[in-house]
Amino acid sequence: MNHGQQKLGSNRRAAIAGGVLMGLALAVVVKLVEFQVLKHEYYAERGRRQHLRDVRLPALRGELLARDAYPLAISIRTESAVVNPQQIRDPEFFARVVAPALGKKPEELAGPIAAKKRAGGPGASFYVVARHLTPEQRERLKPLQRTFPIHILPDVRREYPNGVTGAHVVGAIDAEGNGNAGVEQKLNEELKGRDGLMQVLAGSRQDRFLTWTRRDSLPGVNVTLSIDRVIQHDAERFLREGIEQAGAESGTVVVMDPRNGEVLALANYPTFDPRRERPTLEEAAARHSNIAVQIPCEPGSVMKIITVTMGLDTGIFRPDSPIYCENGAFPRPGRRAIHDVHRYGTLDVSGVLIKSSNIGVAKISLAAGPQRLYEYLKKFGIGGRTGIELPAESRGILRPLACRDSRDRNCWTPASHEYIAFGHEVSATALQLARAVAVIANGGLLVQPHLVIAKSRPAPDGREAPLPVEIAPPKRVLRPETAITIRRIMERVVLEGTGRAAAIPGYSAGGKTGSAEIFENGRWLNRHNSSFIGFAPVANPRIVVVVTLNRTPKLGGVSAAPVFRKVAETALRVLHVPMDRPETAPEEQPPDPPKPPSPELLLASAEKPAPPEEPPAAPVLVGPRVPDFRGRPLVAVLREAASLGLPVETLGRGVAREQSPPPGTVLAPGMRVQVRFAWLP
Amino acid sequence: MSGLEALVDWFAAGREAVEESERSLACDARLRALPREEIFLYVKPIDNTQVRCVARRSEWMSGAATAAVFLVAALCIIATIVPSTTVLAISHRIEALNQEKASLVNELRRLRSDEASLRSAERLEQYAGERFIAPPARALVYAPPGKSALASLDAR
Repeated sequence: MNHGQQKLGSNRRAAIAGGVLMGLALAVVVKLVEFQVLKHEYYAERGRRQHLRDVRLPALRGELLARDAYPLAISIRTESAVVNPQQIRDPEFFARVVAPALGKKPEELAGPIAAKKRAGGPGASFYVVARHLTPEQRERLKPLQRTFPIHILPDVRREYPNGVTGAHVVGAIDAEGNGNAGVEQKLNEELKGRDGLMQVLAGSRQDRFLTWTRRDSLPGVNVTLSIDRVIQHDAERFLREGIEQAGAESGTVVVMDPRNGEVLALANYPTFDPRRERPTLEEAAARHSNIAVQIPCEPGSVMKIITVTMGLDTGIFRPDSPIYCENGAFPRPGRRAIHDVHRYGTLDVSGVLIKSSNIGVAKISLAAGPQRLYEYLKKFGIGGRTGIELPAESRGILRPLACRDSRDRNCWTPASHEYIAFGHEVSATALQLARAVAVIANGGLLVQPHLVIAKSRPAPDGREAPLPVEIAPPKRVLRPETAITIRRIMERVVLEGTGRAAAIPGYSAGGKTGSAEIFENGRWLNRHNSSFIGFAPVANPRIVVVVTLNRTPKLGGVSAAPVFRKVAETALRVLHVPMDRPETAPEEQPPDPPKPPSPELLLASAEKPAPPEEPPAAPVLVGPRVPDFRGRPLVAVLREAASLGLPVETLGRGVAREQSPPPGTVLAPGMRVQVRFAWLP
Repeated sequence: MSGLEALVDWFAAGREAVEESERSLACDARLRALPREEIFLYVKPIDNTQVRCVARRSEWMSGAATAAVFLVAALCIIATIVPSTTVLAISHRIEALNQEKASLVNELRRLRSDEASLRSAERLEQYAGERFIAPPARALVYAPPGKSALASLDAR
């Protein structure tokens, strides 16, 4: 090989080496262009994420307070001990040392930690050794942290100081701190507040940190409920006793202020303990079934109040209008006859409600027609949600009056209004019934039942900033005179009708019993949804109480009425309502439990003469004093009388000139004030 | 002064006498050999007793200016550091107070919860049952005396 050839080969090799180097340099440049130009934002973002992290600053959940400002639910900051099982070499040794410090048995810790250590994977690097450490546990763990990789993390515990009292109202929260029942669930967004955000800038080796707060946490709203703790507790206790005595499966009690719709107590049975983090299956089922607002049932005879009210308010009937009750069996063309439990001849409208005659109210409904009945049901809020601050509220069942077409089965049949008149073919929740009877109790206003009476948010300076609470204003749906008339009739139900067991010593009370036999799987079960709805005192009602016992063999007058009496007595005492009857009045014995109205019994009773009725005992009453109406116009007289609960009979027009009885007279039940009006000369 | 004798002389004869004797003893110049070195130093003591320090005005001004510069610089540094240091200290204090406040608020919440629990209707019923509705012991049940017993008392 000569020199020229060697030089040529050397040049070629140099060219190849240069080309390779150029290629490598080009590749580097291309990669640099990709990093710095084409995907600059992507890699910059990745770099930022390696150094910059967001840390959540949890907001403290708001409090739930009773109306006396005692907490029903309150959050307390605690600490919990956690470990990474993968960092623990010997779980047995760890458990033997750490468990005594936490008051646990070693096997309680060793097993789960060893299992997680064996399992591996992303979920196996975190195990909560103990939640909500006590100060003593914290002190005992401190020296152990030098030996074992135990981390102490901030935690929050939700406390329910009243235990099971008001469980269905207050609700509970799940493991993630979100409400899963009651007000805790319904107002979860407001209660939990807004978490803050802290940013951490870490060094490349995570050895230095710089933190700053991007957004402060916003504490949750404190909510004051209308619940009275004593009334709530007693309502739950009396409900439980009533259910045990009546052999019922479940039940509910609602106590409401008819003037503004504030729910003072809402009790259900079965109930649950909100403090339990891991509820049993039965408790979990009870937690999610708030009977008072979620489960509607046929109201039965309590619906007669609305039918009779419709008859009087429309002017078709007067309280003393006679209605022939067909001696217990009202044959209907082309379908089964309507029966009464007892055989009645002619009753006036008051008597129809007092004796709870199915035939009587069916005839009232027939006279008024389905359109009017439907309108009055809607006026009383049947078939519509009340808007209470509880989750999954049912609207009940009230089928539409008009059918969409000939195939529509979900509408009223030509006979529906006869049966709806006494509480069949319609369903309502206990809360809807409470709202309906509140219309009677407050003089004709439809109120919105509600639990929340105040809201506030804790300010940084320690004060509470009040927040607005939106409550729909009451809506007039009934004339006051009609409401007062029905009130008086309902008082007679308690004094001489089916609700005698509901009479409260020292107070006047009005109400109505209801018993709807359960038809299931094609047969009558001889079990009832028994109920009693009422109010007290009659002149100026302060409470409305609804008691419903499900699947009991006893009727409402025997099973639900005594519960009403006990609950109402407690509520009136707690609310400091002055007595309007002698407290020492002889306690009336509850009536003998009537048997359920089976078809055979009804047929047999149709053959027998009606049993002689005992005359009602004349009660010793202390009624309201009659004011001086003279000189006032008609509207002012009616308004004054409505506020006092006095029945007024007006004669003539103009200004009140004469009245009977005179001012200051104590008006006995059944009496009315007659006011004569005339124009001034 | 070169020794104890001189000190005693100084005490005895006064300062002037001692200085005079020192001047008479001191030689003007001497050759001194450095130990273990072949170097000889010509050493002559200098009498600076008559030297007077005359401070020049410019030097004094220079010194004062230097001191002032240092003072101003120190003040600037202090003015720069002190506010931030104070802010830092106050921040730490505020943070500590905030933590204390949070701790106290948490304690208040816990106490309110305890109070509500103790005053719950269920607990009050339990207390009432334990303390006030306990059945009386049989020996404490009061039985009024019969009519005959009263009559016998009257007779006595």
